[in-house]
Amino acid sequence: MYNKSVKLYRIHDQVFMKNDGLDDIPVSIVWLRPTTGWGKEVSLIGIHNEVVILDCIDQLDPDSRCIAEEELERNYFYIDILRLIRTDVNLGNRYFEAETDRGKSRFVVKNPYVDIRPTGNDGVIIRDVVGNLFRIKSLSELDNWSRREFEKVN
Amino acid sequence: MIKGSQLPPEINKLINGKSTRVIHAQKTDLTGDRKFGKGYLILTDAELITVIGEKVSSEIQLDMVEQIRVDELIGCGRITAVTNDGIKNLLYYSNHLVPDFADSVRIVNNYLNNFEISEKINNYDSHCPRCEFPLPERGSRCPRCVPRVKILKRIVALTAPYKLRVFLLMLVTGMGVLFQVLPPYITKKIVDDVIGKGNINQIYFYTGAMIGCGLLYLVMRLISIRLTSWVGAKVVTDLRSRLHSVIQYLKLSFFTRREPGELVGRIMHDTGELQQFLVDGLPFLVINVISFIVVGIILLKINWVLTIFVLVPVPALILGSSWFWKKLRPLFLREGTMIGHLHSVLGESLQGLRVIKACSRENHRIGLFDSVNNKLAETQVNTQRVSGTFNETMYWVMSLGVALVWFFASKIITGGNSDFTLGDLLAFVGYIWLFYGPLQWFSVILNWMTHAFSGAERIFEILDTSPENYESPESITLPSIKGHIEFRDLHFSYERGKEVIKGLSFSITPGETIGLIGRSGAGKSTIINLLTRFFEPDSGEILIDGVAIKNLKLSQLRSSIGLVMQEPFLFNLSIAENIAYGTEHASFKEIVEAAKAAHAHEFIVRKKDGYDTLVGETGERLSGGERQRIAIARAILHNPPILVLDEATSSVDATTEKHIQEAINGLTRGRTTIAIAHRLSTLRNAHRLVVLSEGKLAEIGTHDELLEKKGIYAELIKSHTEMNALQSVMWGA
Repeated sequence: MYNKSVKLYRIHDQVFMKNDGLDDIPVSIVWLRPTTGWGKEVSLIGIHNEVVILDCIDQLDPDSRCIAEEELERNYFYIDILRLIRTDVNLGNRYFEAETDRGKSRFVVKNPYVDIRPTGNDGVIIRDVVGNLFRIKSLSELDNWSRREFEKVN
Repeated sequence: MIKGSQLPPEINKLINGKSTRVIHAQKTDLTGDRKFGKGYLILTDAELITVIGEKVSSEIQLDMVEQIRVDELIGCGRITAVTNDGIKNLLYYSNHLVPDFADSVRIVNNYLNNFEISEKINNYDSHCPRCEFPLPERGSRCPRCVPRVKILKRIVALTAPYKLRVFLLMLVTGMGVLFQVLPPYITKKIVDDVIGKGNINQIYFYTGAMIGCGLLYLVMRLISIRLTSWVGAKVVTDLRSRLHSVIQYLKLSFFTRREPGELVGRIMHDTGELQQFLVDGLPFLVINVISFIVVGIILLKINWVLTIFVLVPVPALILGSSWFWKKLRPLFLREGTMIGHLHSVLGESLQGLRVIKACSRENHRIGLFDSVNNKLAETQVNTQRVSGTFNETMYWVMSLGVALVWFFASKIITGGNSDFTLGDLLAFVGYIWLFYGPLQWFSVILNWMTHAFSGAERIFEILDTSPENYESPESITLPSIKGHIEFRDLHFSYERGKEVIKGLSFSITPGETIGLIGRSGAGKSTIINLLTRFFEPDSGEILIDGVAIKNLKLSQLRSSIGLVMQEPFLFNLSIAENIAYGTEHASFKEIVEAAKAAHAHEFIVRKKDGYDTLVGETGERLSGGERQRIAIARAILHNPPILVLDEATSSVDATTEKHIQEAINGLTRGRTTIAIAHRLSTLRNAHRLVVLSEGKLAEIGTHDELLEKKGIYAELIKSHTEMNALQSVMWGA
């Protein structure tokens, strides 16, 4: 059931992968498709090369999975939009004011065609001008006001 | 950076109890659990302190800290401290503060290393102090807060070279309004004097006057159209030329975050929008404002009581316009975005036709295009629906005012008020439409203005960008350049906070050939960008013959360096013109000599048009190897003391590489040469090899010295040898 060859442990801030008989490998853990495959495949990357790809972190034993989850949570900073307060367009820039899971936020998007990307399951990822990542998990679950405000600028 | 005294009192209070002097402080915008909130990284003369919210979350004695560093996470950053006790997490920050924390890390580490207090490099605002929204670019003006009047003034100022024609245009426009407002008055005269009083002889005069007004209005409009078209076209032609010439002199850093398509859009589309506003919008605005005021005065003069009824629908017209505008604007925007998307899909379909055919994806592309095309059609139908509803509804609202006027005017006339005649009523009704018209179309003018202003703002952004400094008074010209190059403690980042060159120092003697080696992203091409001053270093300097290149005249620096790039760029000119590009006065004989030295002559003479062969856009009619040899011929003819070969043979086959390598050998003789190549075999003639790793100098020496060292170079050679052996086996098989 579990991928027994992959065992993770942490020393201070660094995650290591056990490497039977050889030196353990310091690894970082990333989603392979952070926009369209959140929660699916992950890659464990060593200092120079990728060490292994997992179809899903559920393949790990509970302790390793817990470390992987923490690491992924730490490596990715997505801000979930709960409600759009207002949106506006000014000289081609899209202005958003939103309530998010991290508090209230104001951000600007330059090019909606490039910076607002569908996630494939009714959600979108919005990248602002400095690279902060905002996420609407489900457009259909937004309230009517927020949906209208989103439509105004998309 | 926040100076100690500028820290909020409550934070100062926390710090004062702990140490004596604040050296540096930087505010963050994320809390420990990465919610939006306040926090500080504070360096005092004894401790490194982090404050999250209003509590001290960590304090580390400075003698415990080796260094602090940035962890670039996806969507945010983190500062950690490397201490005697392991790595400690200090704080998180959003991407808005990347440049600020890059500065902080440098300042804190400098202090930790040698108690030096360094200055902050990045002092630009990330947010607009007025509306508090992030700025699209640090230090730029906030587009939301730029007064529209300022933009309008700049647009109008563009017409200054043609002020005589503009004056004439205003005159003609004013006269046009006059001939537009006369006919209702003539109607009144016909009804009251000709029909009412039976002066049938006057009908000839009034009819003539009416036809004359119409004719003169037509003449004025025709002159106005000619003048606006002429002025609009001239202004936009001037603007395009200015934009193109400004772009030629802009720093390359301006282009790093901009797509070529976007800039082409600015030069062609935005100026087009501006032209439409100058040709159609501005005269329309002027005519409507004048006629609105003039007609308003006339209505008041005819009957002020009825004018009040005329004004009854005005709030509804204004509110309705604004309501409809709010509906229409997103549709217009979406239409624009969809058109851009459709262009992009179409462009990809045409450019990638071979790949599409090879992968049998024609049906997929057709489906993709149709889907975007249908969405665009849907948006356009919506726009037309809303726009049509708007027009018809506004017409109905206006007719309410007219009905009110008819109702009360009839009562006034039948009530025996001799001052107000039937002719007055008809003139009044005629004027009402002239009065309502501008109100209805103000929203359309607003649309034009919005488009033109957004275009103008983008155009002005380019025009206002400071160009490269070619001829500063302090710059010097060296009598000749021998080619001694020295890189001195060079630091550079394309994006503040993400350093790609980290303190690089080495020198090259005149006539020496240096091979630059390193993995992708090690900083090899960046060094070339800095040597040619396409970009300026954050700190440190590059010297040529002992003179810092920032003090050399840019034109001399660039003409002293010959560049042969991986993807040579050829212009859509003949082969001879491409070889002579940059050496305008070269004779044909010299061009042929250069082509021979570059081993290009043999393939050129076999072409039907020889040296007159047009190479096509970006040289598409030539093969990769042919393009490369023309670029080398160009460099030979240019005859620079310094030569840069950036992956000059990486995209060609082994036979072509051999030809190019022969050409290069001839070219490098006697010149200081910096060669970058992935194929280590192409660097076999280099005097020394410089190995870069993560923006730092990792190894330097001859091939044998580096092999002996058994470091990165030896490892690279080993993997190349293995790869070559593998390839031999595969080819052999």
